[in-house]
Amino acid sequence: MKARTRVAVCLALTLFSLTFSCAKPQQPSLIPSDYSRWKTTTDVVLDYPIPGHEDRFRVIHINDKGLGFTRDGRSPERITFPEGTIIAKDIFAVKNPGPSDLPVMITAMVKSGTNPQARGGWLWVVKDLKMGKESIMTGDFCVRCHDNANEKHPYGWKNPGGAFTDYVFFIPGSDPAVEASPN
Amino acid sequence: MARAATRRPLGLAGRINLVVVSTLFIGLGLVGYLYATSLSSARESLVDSNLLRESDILYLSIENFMLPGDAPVAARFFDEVAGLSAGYSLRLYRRNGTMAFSDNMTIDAVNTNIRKVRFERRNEPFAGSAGGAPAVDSSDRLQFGKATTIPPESVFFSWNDTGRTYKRFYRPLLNLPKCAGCHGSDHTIRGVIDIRADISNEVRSEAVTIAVSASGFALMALALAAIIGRILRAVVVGPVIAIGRLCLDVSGGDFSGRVDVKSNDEIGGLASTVNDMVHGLRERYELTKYVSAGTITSLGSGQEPRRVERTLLFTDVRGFTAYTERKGAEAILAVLNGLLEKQAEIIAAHGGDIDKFVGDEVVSVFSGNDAPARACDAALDIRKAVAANSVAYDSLAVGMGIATGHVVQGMVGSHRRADFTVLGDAVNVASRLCSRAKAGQILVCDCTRDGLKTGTHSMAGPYKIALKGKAEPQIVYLLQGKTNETDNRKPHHEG
Repeated sequence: MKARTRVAVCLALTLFSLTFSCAKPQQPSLIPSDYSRWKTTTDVVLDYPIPGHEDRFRVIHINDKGLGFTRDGRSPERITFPEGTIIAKDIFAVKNPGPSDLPVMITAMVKSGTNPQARGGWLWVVKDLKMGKESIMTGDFCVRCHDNANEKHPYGWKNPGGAFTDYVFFIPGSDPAVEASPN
Repeated sequence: MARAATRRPLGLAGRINLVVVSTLFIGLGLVGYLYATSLSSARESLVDSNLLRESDILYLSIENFMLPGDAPVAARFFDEVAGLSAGYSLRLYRRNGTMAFSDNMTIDAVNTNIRKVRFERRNEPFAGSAGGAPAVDSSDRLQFGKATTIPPESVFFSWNDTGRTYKRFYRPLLNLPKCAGCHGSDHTIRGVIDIRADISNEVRSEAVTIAVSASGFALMALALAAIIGRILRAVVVGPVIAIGRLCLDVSGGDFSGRVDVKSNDEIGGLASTVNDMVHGLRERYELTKYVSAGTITSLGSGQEPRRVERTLLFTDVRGFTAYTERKGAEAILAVLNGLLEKQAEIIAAHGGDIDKFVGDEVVSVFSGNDAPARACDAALDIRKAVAANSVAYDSLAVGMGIATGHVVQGMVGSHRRADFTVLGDAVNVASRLCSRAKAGQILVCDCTRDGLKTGTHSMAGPYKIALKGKAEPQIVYLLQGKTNETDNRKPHHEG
């Protein structure tokens, strides 16, 4: 092999290896596959319409780390979920799914205060189960709605004291005896 | 008839200027393009961020007006903000594209949701609702749709209308949980805030800035091209052109020039080398004056002696010894050189080769089939020239002898100094004939006469004369002229 050819081959190999070494590695999924085995944040049947999810049936799961949230005991109270908390919400296609119906989408809140894509200290994640595509919502659509959880609201325990709930509507263990319709 | 177009090739200077100008224009053009795009992007970003900030303020205002149920205040607020400046408009649309506050639809829905008449229906006509509720322009429906689908997104877009540029911002208004109490929870998007701004002044200002910058870049490119062109011309192109001219002069036989380059770089080195080369060529050229053409030819074609047929022309100034004694050696040199120069010129013009000058004698050699004819013509011309310039040559005249025959041509001399010359009987005969010829006479041997075409030259003779070194008398002729010329010179007869 001539010297010039050797140099060309070396250059091509270097470029090739540089290209692939610089390629963006595939991000691991933010929503673990076993999320459905986690505890639920509420026993309330979430079949009533709400803005954002409208009249689709929902089930909300939280990982064990999230159950370690803290309350500061002041008034109004401040609730803080630890870093690594994942709250995943199954979204079904219909209002009253049967036993064989599977969710079509998962929306999740991942506590990641240092992540530049985080809004309000959370990553707002949507996973389309049909396409298998997971994306982070960087707009204000999710966070703006969940911001209402930090004041009195019409859902679940209704946050009567206007606690700061870290953008979470259903604080585990705060369910009222009966879920009231928001209307 | 179509004339064939001939394209003149671009010279070195032109090509270098073309490269410089192209490079500068491409380089500065790219810089200008990047500048223009970054300026445009910065302007767009600034406008967008301003509109976004305005929309944030409006969003919060709407929230704060609506929550206590002050929708009429919100409507008035919108009208007043919209009237702040010309070209600026502010509207609030429902999610179906109809304008908010344009009818009683929302009032009815809210009263139904809260199960009491919290808001009285309005009976007076709503502003701008004549002919039906005003709605989003059909041309903007696509952008409006992006702001009302889930997930909704804020949409910026711009358009031109009657020479003015507008920017529109559709900001989705969410049906937040705190809004759901009055507006219901069955929908996510309440409506869309529509902010329209006339950005013609900003766009015009940007265009002027870009135009001024582009002109500046173009002028800078031209100025730089001129400066770089001048520098390159002085440093590279000028010397190269001068070297080219010098080479052209040298090829034309003029060795007097030199390239005046004082730099110590590669161009200076090249110029110095060319100057040295021309100097060497000049020396060699000068040397050729002292060396016969045959000698020079032999250097290229080999120096082995060879036997060839040649015509020899000998000329000699008559009465020169006495003339020298009379005038003095120094005084006659100019006259002699003039005479020899003229003869050499004529011989060269007829294709002869000066073999040597021996005092006032010229020995020349002619080769080729027509060598006798050219030697005779040269001799006739010499005689004519000398006679015509007798005053300049101080009335000196020459006698000439021409002989043709086989000679040996080769190098004669030592390794240090040698001449490429001819030896043989024809040389001796020509020399003897020259010695015998009187002033103005041209004696020709019979071989030379036989070598002429019949009737081309007029001859007197034949004569038989005794030549030194020859046992038998030789047949000779007196060359009188060409047949178409008149030679009044009387032949000299010798028996």
